[in-house]
Amino acid sequence: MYFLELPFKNLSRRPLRAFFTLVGISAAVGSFMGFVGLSRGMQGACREILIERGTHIFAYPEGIVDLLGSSLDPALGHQIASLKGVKQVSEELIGLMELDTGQVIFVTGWPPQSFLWKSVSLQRGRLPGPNDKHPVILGKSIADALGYDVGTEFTIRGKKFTVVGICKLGPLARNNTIIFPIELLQKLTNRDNKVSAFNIQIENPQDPRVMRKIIGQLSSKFRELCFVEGRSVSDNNKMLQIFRAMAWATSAVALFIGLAMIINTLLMSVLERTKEIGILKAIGWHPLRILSMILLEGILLAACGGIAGTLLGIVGIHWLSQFPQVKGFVYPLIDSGLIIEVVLGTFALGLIGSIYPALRAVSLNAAEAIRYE
Amino acid sequence: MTEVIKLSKVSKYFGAHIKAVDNVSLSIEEGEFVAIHGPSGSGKTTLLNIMAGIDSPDKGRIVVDGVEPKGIRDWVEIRSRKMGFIFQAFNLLPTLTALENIEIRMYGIVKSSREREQRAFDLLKKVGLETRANHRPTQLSGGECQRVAIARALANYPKFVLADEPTGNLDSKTSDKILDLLATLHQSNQITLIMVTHEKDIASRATRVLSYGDGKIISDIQSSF
Repeated sequence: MYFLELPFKNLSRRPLRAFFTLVGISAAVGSFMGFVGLSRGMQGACREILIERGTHIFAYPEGIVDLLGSSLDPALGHQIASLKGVKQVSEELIGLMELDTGQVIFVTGWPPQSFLWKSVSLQRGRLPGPNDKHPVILGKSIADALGYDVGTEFTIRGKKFTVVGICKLGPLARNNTIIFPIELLQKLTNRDNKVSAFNIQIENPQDPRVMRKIIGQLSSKFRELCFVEGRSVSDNNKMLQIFRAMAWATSAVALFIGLAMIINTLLMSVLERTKEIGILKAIGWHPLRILSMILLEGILLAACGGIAGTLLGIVGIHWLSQFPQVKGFVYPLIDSGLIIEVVLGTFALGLIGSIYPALRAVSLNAAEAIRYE
Repeated sequence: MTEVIKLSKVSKYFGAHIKAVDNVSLSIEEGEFVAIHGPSGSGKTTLLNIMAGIDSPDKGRIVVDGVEPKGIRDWVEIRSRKMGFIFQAFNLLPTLTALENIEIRMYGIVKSSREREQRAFDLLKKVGLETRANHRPTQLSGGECQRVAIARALANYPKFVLADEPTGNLDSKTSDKILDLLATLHQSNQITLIMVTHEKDIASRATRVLSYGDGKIISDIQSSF
């Protein structure tokens, strides 16, 4: 019998207790994967959409947390465009809106001449034209969810709109977004002559020194605005930062519970095996061997819980993201990096959780332990 | 003859009034079969535990096989390589089979798993339990459990074996068989055997009987065997 078989045998003597500990660890690891995967997914989607659009620099009001509620004067866009090195600027109005069907969706509005329209790859239909009355483009997910197609007419807040195009599958924001001509959205949201942010293209975006220089110039000239490189917006966005922090905090609580379960299970196990540990010492086992045995039990518990939790997290979050209420809003990103983090994390969890029980086992007095009943 | 165990003025107290071992000096030589005989509560097991390093004395010196153990490392070395221990209550691990209970004694001593298994099986054969190799302690009788415990004690070719009331939990017929086995092992393997017992008849099987009472050796008699 190999030494590594012993931890299996020790844990399997109380199968129900080991099982429920595994369930607890799996739930903790699954929650961690779910929350962190969601937060990373949102961050990734935000980055992806800005890169896809060709936004080199994104400008939004300084100090604002909720970008959806920001309100800027579009005239600022013209002033930004006049700066040397800036190629073009597009205003954008963004928000969340409840459809008459009860579904909440992202809405975005762009000016007719905006470069942002060029990034829209259509699956069906066409872009809005000057003669269209109340035209909109629908993301693939929302079009599928609502059962709308090109030519469908529908109402929002009593106003009739016509679907002129359906976007191909792509980033989250595009999939679950309705794109309006900006004036239409301004009227619909009672934000006449207001925009949420500016998308800026510069002459030489590949040169990081040029990028930094222009951002510096813009920042010093327009102090009321915050200028961030397109690909870094998701890292700087306060809403996403708060979401990320909440995801980590919730995950930390879940992992702490998992840790407590490991400690409790192993402590109970060590207490129950007090006499056996005394016997092992009496027959010549080195304290380090006893320590290794308990540590391996903890690592084994955590590893099994980690594997089950990872699967639970992947399956669970994809299942949840298919619910109509959240479809298109949650975009889990569970990549190999996160899985490696989870694997290492659960290994550490098992190791940390078993240190105290293992030290207790080692510190037992052999003579007293043998007498223990 | 080489001294296997030597105690010099060893004492062990439990609280202010209980002297389990009181200034005991003792020398046991290689190849001896020693019985420490005395009534229950006289401190025999404590004396045996001190010899095994399981309990530490409050006073005095212990020399095992010519070496005075200084700490845990020395005692682990002695317990794993030079000594075997047989308990009254067998003390086999309930989740392991008879074979595995013997094998675990050899971790760190016999590196190969196959060799450990073979050696454990040979020992089971020696104590007549080869057909019970894959049985757990709960599936074995008391006498069989004690035979497994004896095999476990012998696993690492010990120089001496300490037995704490090895027949205390067995009926008289089984006790005789266990004592016969111990005597045979002592004779055939030249192992020094130190046995604690409260029964005179059992003590009389040894070649040297130390009468023990109130933490002291009252008499030290060499038998005529």
